[in-house]
Amino acid sequence: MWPDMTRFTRRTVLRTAAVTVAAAIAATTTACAAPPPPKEVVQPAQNIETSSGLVIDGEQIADKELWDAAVAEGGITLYTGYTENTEAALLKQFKADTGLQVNVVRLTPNRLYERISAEYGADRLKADVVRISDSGFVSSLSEKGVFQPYTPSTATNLHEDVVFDGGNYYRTFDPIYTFGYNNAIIPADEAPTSWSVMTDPAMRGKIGIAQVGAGGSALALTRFQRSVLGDEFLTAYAGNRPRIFDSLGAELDSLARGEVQVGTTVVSAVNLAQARNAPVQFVIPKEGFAVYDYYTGVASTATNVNAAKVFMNWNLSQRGQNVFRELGEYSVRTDVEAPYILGEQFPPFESEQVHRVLPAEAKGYAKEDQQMWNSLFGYNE
Amino acid sequence: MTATMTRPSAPTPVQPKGSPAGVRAFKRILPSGLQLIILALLVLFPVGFVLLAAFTDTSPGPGSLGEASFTVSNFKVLFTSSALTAMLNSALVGLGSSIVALVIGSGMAFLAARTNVPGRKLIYFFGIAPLFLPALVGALAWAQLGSPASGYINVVARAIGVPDLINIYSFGGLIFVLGLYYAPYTFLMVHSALSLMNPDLEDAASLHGAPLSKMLRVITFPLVMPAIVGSGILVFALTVENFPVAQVIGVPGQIDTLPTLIYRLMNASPSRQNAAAAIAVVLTALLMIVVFIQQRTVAKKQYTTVSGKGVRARRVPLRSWRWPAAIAAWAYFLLAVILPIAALLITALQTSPYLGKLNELFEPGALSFYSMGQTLQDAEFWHVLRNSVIVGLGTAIIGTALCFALSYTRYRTNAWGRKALEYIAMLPLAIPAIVLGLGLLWTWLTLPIPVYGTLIVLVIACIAVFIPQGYRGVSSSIVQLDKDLEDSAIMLGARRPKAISFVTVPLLRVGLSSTFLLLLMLGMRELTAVLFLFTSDTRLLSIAIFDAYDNGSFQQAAELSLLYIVVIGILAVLARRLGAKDVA
Repeated sequence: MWPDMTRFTRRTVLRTAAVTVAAAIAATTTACAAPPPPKEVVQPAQNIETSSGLVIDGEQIADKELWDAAVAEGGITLYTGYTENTEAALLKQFKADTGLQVNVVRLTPNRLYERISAEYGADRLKADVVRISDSGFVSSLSEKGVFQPYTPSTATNLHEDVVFDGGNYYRTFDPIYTFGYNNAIIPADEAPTSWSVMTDPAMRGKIGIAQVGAGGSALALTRFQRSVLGDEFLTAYAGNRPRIFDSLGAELDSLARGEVQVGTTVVSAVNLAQARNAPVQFVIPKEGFAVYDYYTGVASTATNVNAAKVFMNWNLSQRGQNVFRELGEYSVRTDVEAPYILGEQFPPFESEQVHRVLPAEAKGYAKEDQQMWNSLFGYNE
Repeated sequence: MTATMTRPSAPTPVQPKGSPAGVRAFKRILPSGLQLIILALLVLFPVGFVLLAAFTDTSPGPGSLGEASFTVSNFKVLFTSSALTAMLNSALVGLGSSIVALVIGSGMAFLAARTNVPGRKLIYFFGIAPLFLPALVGALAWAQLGSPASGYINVVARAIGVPDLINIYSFGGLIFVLGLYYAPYTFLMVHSALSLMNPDLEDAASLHGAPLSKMLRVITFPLVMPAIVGSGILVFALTVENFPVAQVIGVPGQIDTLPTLIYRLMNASPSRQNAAAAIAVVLTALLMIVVFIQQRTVAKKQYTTVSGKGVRARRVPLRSWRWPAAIAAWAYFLLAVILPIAALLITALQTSPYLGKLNELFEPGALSFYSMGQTLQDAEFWHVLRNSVIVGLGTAIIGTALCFALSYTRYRTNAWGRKALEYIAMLPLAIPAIVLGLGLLWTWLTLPIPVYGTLIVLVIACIAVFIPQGYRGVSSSIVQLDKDLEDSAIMLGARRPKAISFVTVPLLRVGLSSTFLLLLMLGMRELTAVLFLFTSDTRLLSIAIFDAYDNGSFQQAAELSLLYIVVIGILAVLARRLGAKDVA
């Protein structure tokens, strides 16, 4: 089935190649301009000391013994379901603060869960730390024995409901799930302020939504929409010809490119996308929005246990939690404020506008919500 | 695809003299037995595990075999509206894209083989050039070109006052893109049939006064019909099992096909592996029927067109159609290669993902090589590239060796079970890559051989998927080679292995080196078979592109796609160079 290349001469190939290259050069002559400077959304640490353990801006992240052992290990392998760009922005700060390396395995939470289950079953899990959303996934992994208990020295001033299974894993932050719009197409003064935009006939075919099976995030949004906005809202949404995306990342890209004008999205992802010149903006709807839990724990298979512990300490420290806040997530510490992102102040975590689905509630409704969503949106029945 | 006069003669026993009967029998079974075990691991085990998953209630994995209990309830998924729609979509998309591929491929083949169209040799190049663009890359490029609102074609159309010109995320779009990238398969088959056709019949028609149009209608087209039908069915089979194009073009338009449904069920939360296996079984059964029909059709073809005479087939004068025909061929090249590469280039260089108006592209700072430079400096990129090259070379080296062993056993020995070897080697043709990948995942998770998570399992997957192509390549050369040459060496006192390495293999080097090149290219391009098998350390370029797309970074996907094309091009040239030197 392979072409017989003797059929055309080298000259014809070269000629065609030359034409192609010439066209390419013509198309890119304007490409020599300097790139716009990349914007940083997170502030670097002011002061890092490593003479007696790791101390960042006066906060002790690791004592000397742990720190020396971690440095000797050099870094960790992190299995994460957290959005790729956001995890990268966070890890950039972690690496700058600690000098430890992080080898990242990133998959959407549902694929990550399958992958970890398979690798753990085959005795090939290489993770030192696992980070995943969806309380169902994380508790199932915990039952299988994927985690080992650990109590970070920085785990102080925590909100309720942060430590799980005796320190096997920790709620580490809560991303904000709302909707956003393309602000190159919709000017800021005409921007929607309510979820009702999704059911507006004028927006028919111009809206997006991520499929419910994409992990804990999508289920949390569905729970919020069903309990606060009602099933009739979801029915109307499904009837307004939304484009259904397999992942939030793909949806945000479509939103930025203007394929859809309004779509569900996560605040931290919008924050980073705007820093990269994407014309997207989020909305704090008057009806409120969903937040969902992200969990992190030291893997029982960890070979770099000390570096993994430093990573956990850093994640739950004031420094780490402030990095999460600046990215656009809610902190799990009481001494870290609600995020202020792109000129918008978010309400405190306890506010009525903030709808967090409790783990028990999430597990209880997961199946029913998923079935309901699938049948409404005609997906995977 | 050259014609041959030599038919494979009946194999004669090659028996070492003087060994006891038991040893002789063992020696007779050993080579083919060994190959049978390898093929079983590559093909039969995966198929077995898919069947197992389809008929039990637990997904295969370490320790799960004991708990499995028989059920047919997994097949209930077939009667859901999603599965029924996907089945219908698959059939329609397969049918539509084979028609598109047939029209383009046969037309181009006719132009290149039998007409006086200007730039005929260039048109041959146009006919096969899209093969160097992996379907995933072509699909991503067309998503950039033809997406509603923001696709480059729509942006240009809007600039000249035509809003919403095309929407690639549609049935038509999916059929168009698949047809575009599978046309080369039709082209190659029809082109060889047209070039090899015995001109005597055509001459006879002309001599008896038939006008050109009648000669074409009554003689030429009926003679190539089997090639056209055979390639049409082949393209149908390939497009029905295609995953990347369906996922990138179909799914955004809510058009599910069976492969995308399998993928989604595997990745649903919670994963529905047994339902996925049930659909896989149905898809495989359908494909087996189609491939069976295709094999029968192609077998008929050889009867009519293959001739030993190297007579040049006559050229049809196109007269006033010369230039329109040439322009049509150029248009195909433009649509299948130039526009997609241009779109990838612009996407890779754009500093903002949004393009509302065309003139925004020409503003200062709108395009930049900065991001591409960052990617080239990224250690992860080089790691992924290295993996791809290792897997490509591994597939080519081991695959060619295995295919040589299989062909040799089949055509040069009387070994036990050699017919069975051939059947199993050709079986993957009828197994969709996504199903084979699924089966291989379960096989290597369950078997106590620790290759899961290494590059070895990816090489295994690529070899399993491409065995039929490799086996065909080698055996078509081996049947052309007179076996007396090797036997002469034996007569002169050489042992069999020495005779094979110093006589047969050197004589087959053209066939072997083109099989090597074919497997290298196919291995470098593969996405679907390795989709469930890669781990963080073993990502390939194709996987990295798909991940970038899945994570919503079209720009990164475009950058990687361009680099991917460059790497494939370099490898093709290098392999060709080395191969050519060896032959000379």
